[in-house]
Amino acid sequence: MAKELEFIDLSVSSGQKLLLSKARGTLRSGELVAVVGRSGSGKTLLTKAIMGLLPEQLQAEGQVLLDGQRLDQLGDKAMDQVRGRRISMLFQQPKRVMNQRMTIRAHLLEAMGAHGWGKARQHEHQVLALLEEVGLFPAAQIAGKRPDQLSGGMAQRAMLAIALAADPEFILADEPTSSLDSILKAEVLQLLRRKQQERGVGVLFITHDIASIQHIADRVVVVSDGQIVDQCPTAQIFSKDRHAKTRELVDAALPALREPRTRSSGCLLEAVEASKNYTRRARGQAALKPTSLCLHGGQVLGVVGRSGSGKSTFARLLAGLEQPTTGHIITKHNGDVATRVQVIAQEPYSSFDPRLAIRTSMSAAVHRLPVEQARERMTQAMTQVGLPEELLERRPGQCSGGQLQRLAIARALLTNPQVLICDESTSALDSVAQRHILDLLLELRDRMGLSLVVISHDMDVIRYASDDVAVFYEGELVEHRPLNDFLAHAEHQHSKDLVAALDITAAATAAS
Amino acid sequence: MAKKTASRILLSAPAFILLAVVIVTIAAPLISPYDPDAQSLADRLQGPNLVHLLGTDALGRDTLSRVLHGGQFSLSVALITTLFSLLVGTILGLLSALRGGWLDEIFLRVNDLLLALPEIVIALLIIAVMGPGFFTMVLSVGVVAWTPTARLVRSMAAQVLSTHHVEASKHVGASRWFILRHHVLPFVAGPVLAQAALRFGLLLVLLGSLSYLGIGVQPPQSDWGSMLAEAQPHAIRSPWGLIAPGAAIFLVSFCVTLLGNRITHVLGGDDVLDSEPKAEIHG
Repeated sequence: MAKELEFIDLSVSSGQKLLLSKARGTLRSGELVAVVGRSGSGKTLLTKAIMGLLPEQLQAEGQVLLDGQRLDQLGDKAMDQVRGRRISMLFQQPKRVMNQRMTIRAHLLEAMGAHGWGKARQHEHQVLALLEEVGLFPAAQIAGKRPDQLSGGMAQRAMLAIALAADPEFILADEPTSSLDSILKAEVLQLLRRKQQERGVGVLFITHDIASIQHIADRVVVVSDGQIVDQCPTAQIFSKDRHAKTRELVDAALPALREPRTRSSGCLLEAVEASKNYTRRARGQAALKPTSLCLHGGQVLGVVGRSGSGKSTFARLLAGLEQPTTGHIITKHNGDVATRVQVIAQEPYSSFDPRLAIRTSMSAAVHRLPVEQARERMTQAMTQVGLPEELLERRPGQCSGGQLQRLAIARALLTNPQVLICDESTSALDSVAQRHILDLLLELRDRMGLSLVVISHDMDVIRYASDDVAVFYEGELVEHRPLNDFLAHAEHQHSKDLVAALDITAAATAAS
Repeated sequence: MAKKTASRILLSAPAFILLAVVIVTIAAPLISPYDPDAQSLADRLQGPNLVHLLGTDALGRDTLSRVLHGGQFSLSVALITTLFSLLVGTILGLLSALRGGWLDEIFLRVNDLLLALPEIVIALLIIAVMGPGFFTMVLSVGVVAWTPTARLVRSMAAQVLSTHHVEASKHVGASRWFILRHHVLPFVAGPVLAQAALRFGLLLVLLGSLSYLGIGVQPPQSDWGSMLAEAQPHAIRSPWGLIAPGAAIFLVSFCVTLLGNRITHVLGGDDVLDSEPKAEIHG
């Protein structure tokens, strides 16, 4: 018999403020429902309210029913029999929710409820079977590791094994793939879908990114400003007459078709056999093997690779933040004047001093100019990034991530740069904010002739923005081609995997 | 903002008590009922009474007048030493963090050396060589007193200098002075002021101990520590000679400590809460 997890008129409020209002829905076993919305829309609160895990300062109202049983009226002790046993969870940062001092085996045993001496041996075959089920080989070795000894993708698989350990009826997954690169994301999504179907589990999948769930979800629920504004079978989500908020999210997931753009022929910034080695030992693994590459004026270069592939090291060398160990970076192609390069960092909240008004932080770029002129330049930069000037008086904590990233771009523009290096500049943002920032960068490129280096682990970003793609793999530049050529004729195995991870998305979009 | 912060620190009970102590101490010659040095052997070792509010000591001198006057020396030496160590500690700590390299190494080793030796032993040594006096007192305590401040400033400055937002400022062309003024000093100021207040209390006790040992102020001048030493032999017959200066030392260092905690609370706690990222509203 199909089981049901139902929530009726579920509201969450903080004092007077309503954060989630009268949400209503049903999740049946054997189906995968995606809850999609922008950051701050209340989708994570929904899972926490269902599990009875809201922070103390928030109050929940309404009913949560698991097979007709009121979960919202159970005490903490009774809920312990539900949490992790009948309903388990997946998180965005698996390593943060796991105990660093416990091995994966210990986590699994705990989740199975196998406490006490001697139990470990009895359940060993179950532990290994679970790990193999989620594709972690060799299972015996992985079981003995601690969370921080695993890579991000492995940790998320281990987390799934833990979630499955007690054979739950439902899984609530909160952005489990957002911090993974495109290839791992596709792998984990497919794995989750497969396990969900094999075991007949009901999955509630929270995400901001419609593209990632469009081929695995049965139904989509759209949340905006604490309200469920739309829901439908996944196939209908792309039709034109859906709710405006749905359209916004769908648009952010669609690839763009753009004309090839003109660029100047000369090099603006060039790496010549540049390499970087952080250890002094000659035998140590180089962070970046000798790399040669030329950036033209007005070009958008997409740089893609996994974490540790050397792409960020390459960016730091180009930006002049670090000196190459061998080879060099040529910045002077126009006589004696060095090319001006600026960097937009990943984390919007850490690139501004939390104590200072934005205006003060921004003035770092123009504090050598006379006061009047500096003020004028700041006004101009704010107009260029499309933000009201009042924002300058706020502190970083009072701005959204997307606004801060725009402010970071405005600060960079104050120095009249010719090249902007965007190092994962959009990966901390939700898909809609991400798209807005990319559009702004491309617009600046068209208007001011900026060259962009867009570094990302997300192939969707690379495909949306780039003219050319450079692929880094294990510290080496393995492929560098124009985008269309890359999509059609990638040669290196890693590039092929990247394109393949995209293809599922593209095919699904084209079909609808 | 700054005005509000300052008023939250200064409009507090410990701040008012300290202010009162300072005023009374400065005005001691005007308000004390007797000459602190006038002896009257007939009235020796009295308890509190209407003529001598806090009684008299072994030489028949008025204890109240002596406590009021004694504060002048103790408080001024402690204040000067605190300001000195605040200034020197901040400058050396900042230099060490900004320059790094060999300067930082030397700084750390000297700091370790001074921290390893008990303050009172160093003070004893210096006084033994130079002889007692106001200047020697300041020097002997001040020579070690700057080290905790310098350590604190160095580690906090190094911490803020390694943040992404300082790197971002540097990369768009901020000068050293800009970074120092806008990023480093506001970050360092709160904890350093709080620590200075706590240090002031400790120094007051240290200076008291030196005078108690008889190597601080020399007669006929007196401070709270030397009064304790003089009253000790007669403690059983007349405990008031001990209680009055002891209470004065306690009151001042207690209030200063409370004030230090308040500074930490006002500058540290609430500020950090204000800057927590809020949920994303629009892109």
